[in-house]
Amino acid sequence: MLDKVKHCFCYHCRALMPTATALTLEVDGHTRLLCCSGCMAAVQFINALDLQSYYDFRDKCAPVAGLTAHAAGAGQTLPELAFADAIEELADGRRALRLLIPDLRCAACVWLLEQVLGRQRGIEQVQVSFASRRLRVEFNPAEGMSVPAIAQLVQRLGYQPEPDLPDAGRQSFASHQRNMLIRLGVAGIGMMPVMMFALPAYLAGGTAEVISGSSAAAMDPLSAALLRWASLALSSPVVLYSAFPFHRGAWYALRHRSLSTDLPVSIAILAAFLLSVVNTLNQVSEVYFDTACMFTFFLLLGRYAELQSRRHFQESQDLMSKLLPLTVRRVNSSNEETVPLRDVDVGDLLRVLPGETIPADGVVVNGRSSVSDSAFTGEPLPSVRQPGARVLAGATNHDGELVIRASTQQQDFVLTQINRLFEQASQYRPHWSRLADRAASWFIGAVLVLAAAADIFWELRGADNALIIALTVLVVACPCALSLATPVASTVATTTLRRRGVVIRNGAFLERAAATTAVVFDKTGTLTEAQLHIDRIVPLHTLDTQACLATATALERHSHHPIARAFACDTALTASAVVTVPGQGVEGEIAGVHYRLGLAAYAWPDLGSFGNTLLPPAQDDGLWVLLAAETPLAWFRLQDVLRDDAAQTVDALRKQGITTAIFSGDSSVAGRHLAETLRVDQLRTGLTPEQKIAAVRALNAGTPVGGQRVMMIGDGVNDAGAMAAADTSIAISPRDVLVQNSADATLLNPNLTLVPDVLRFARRTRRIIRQNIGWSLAYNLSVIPVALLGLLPPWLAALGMSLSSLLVVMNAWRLRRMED
Amino acid sequence: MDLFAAFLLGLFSAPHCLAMCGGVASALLLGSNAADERAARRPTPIVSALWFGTGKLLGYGALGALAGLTGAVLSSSGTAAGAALHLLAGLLMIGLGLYMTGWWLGIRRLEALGGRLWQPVLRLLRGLQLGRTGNKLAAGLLWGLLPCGIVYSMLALALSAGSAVAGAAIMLSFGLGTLPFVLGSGGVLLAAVPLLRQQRWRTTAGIGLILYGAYGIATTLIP
Repeated sequence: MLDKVKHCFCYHCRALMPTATALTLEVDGHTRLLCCSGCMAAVQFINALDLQSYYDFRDKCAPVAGLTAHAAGAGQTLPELAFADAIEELADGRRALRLLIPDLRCAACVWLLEQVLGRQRGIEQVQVSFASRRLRVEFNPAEGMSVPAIAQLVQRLGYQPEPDLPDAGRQSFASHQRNMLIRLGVAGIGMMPVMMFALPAYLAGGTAEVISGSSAAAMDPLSAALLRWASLALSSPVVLYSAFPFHRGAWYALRHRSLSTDLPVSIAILAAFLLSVVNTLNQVSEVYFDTACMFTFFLLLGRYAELQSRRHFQESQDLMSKLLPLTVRRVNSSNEETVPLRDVDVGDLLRVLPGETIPADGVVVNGRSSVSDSAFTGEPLPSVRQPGARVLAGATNHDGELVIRASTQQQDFVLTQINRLFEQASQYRPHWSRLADRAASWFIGAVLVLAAAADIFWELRGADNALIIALTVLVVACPCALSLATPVASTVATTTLRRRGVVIRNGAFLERAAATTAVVFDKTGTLTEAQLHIDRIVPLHTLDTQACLATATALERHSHHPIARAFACDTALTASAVVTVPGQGVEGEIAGVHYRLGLAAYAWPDLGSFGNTLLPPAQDDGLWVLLAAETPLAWFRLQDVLRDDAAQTVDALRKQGITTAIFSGDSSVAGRHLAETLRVDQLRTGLTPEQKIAAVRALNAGTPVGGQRVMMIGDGVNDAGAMAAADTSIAISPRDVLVQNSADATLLNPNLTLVPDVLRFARRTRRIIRQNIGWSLAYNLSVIPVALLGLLPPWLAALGMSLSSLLVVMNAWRLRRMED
Repeated sequence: MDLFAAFLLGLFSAPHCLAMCGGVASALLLGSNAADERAARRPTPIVSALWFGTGKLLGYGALGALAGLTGAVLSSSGTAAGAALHLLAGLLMIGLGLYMTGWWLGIRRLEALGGRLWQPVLRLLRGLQLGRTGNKLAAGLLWGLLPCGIVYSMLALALSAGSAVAGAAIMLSFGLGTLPFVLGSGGVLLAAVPLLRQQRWRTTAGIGLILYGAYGIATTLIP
């Protein structure tokens, strides 16, 4: 490989050069080697502008120092097997390797990969695409280059290469796109000469009197016939090959007895072409090959724009699924082995090095490192994980080495679940879309009738171009933009939300959320930190404080309610036959004694019979729960703290004109305190699940505030009923777990202030969808009369059609950002 | 025709420009983004890149105008001087062609010469704050003066162009040819770079340049 003494890298352009000819320059006390005076000037230039940090940034991106240091061949090799599917055999024994490099960060990385790989013996071509984070290397095994060697080179530059496997979905998308481009190219190439051939005919006063006011000399019949035949030959591939997707679509639609937007387009193209063929055979001068070609080209252009809009989505999908490594390091008692990820079992110990992706959901058993969950939550800041902390597959391990114990298998990873949900939601066809489709189908029927009527009318009036007018009507009225208007926008919006850590389960979420007028919070775990703690214990009987706490802990150990976590002490007691009563408490047997723990009314229903002596000391601050057996044993006071962003969120919602309410099952934060800090419109505490549902229904039905569209925000577990009763719901997932919940959407980033943002974004999505629909309807309706009057040239109709599709797609594209 | 050749030359020198000026472009954008953020503005890399690019073009244009003017003055003193300029231009083109094919790297010596002229420019640069638009333009302009063998060869062509305007036009065309690659580094255009870097492309372009230079010399010598 490299001879480190005789060769070195240019500090600026990183060209490999003989050390003997290198120029030297002192920069900030370092001697830098440079290949030429141009590069020296460049370093001086950058230095003079105080931009030296560029070099640090670049080196951080891909340390060349690392390359030279490792040049001897240290580091472990990646199994070649893992890359087998990413290798493509080329002619004369060469091979191509496709790698996905998810952590390709900047232009300098692209540049470096090309520089370093391109210089290797046996590597013939290197292509790095920054947009899709893919690398394609063509190499020659005969010259000693191999797949592990390439992977190792990339690794040494500081990247984690992964085989870019040809999964079915993406491959079909890519081939679809290529196919479309070829069709578009054929149409473009065919269209130009055909239009040129049509020009003399126009000028000679053939079909269009519009252009030729002059009495230009008629073309001689022989050359006119020749031009017609040439046009026929050139436009055949355009009409038969390029426009084939339209014909096929129309055919399928007809077979299913429905009308699709392909139908009028296909009819227009085929009619213009067939009429021209007949006229050519009959030596009639009116031919419309140019019209057929232009229709095809411009309409394909519109389709292509639609295809491109799906790429954004496709690529983010790819990056997500490529997040996990294919192989992991499994640690046994004595040694360490590399195994495929799918062979990992629950309980396996896995070693994760700094910079690697956490390969499985699990618990840290050894090591300490900062880990960032940006793939889930959109939150880039890492947090420190120590033994005992949960980590999720797909998170990035930053600075320390960790050993984790896998807690689930791949199909149950949070990441896998999120991806499933995301796929599911993106397949949903929104209400608007279904409406538009239904409308479009009627619309197409009407257009077909209208075009036929126009043809008959203009034929009767004796117009030469009656058929062309009819065909123009067909093209101009095609509701392509209308049928694109909604799906494109909702796809882009779903992807954007996903990137910010909002996973939509119910596809209807966005359109319903846009109408929200009231937001109801379920307090437990939503507005509070959900870290209840016991701050007072009042024994009522002979049992002392410690014994009471131990008994309660044994009971609560079986419950998943946030309250249960407050009871934690070391106890050998175990409870049996434990039953949890939602919203009330828990009961069970310990050492043959039956205990109840929960709200007073549940634990000891006839509390009043004991008189006031047994009531909790102060009713209104905190949540009091009672432990009872044959007699009341102790009161526990539980406290929770409000989240920092709760007040901010409520204020932001109020500013949006949204009614806010808290319907809480407990009173773990003092009611008065809550009302003072959060200026919510309605505050109801101590509700049973049934009362909660009733309260949500009441809001919905119009009492006491007037009919509201209600969005319920909770943890999605304890309030499933109320969530189902509300129009929409959002669950706020605690960090590191995707709780199986019933909400329409889940915030993976436990950041309450996202709620107003999501509402605003939903309204913006709705606005953009409406703009799209409004625009495409207005376009279709306003241009049809013009076309009917025969005032619209066919090329303009086709161009307008594709531009209106393009406009709709670009408008939807604005939803790529959550902020305005 | 000269303009088109200049544009093509700009395009074909992309690999060189990318290695050298690509770094400068990245550094400038990094710096201006940081300056924008310090000033609590949202960084607009595309707009900044356009300002830097415009500055660079202006720098090239100024150099070209200067060269064209010098050429016009020199050649007005006699046809021999004009012919000599054409010869010089032709020779430099051949030298550049040889550099591109990789057969002879002598043109680098010209860069070393320019390195000395470069020092005063450095003093102008010191402490230029990239936050302001005017300064972005200025930095781009000075960037255009970076000593570079390819630029010098183009200047020789501008020298023989006959007027300041024609000289500026040649340099602007050249600049336009390089700009997309330099500014687009990291963008879509990078996909085309491996193609441009392939030696047979460079050889083809180099041979074209050599022939072009030889043609220029021939037309000067044989009236």
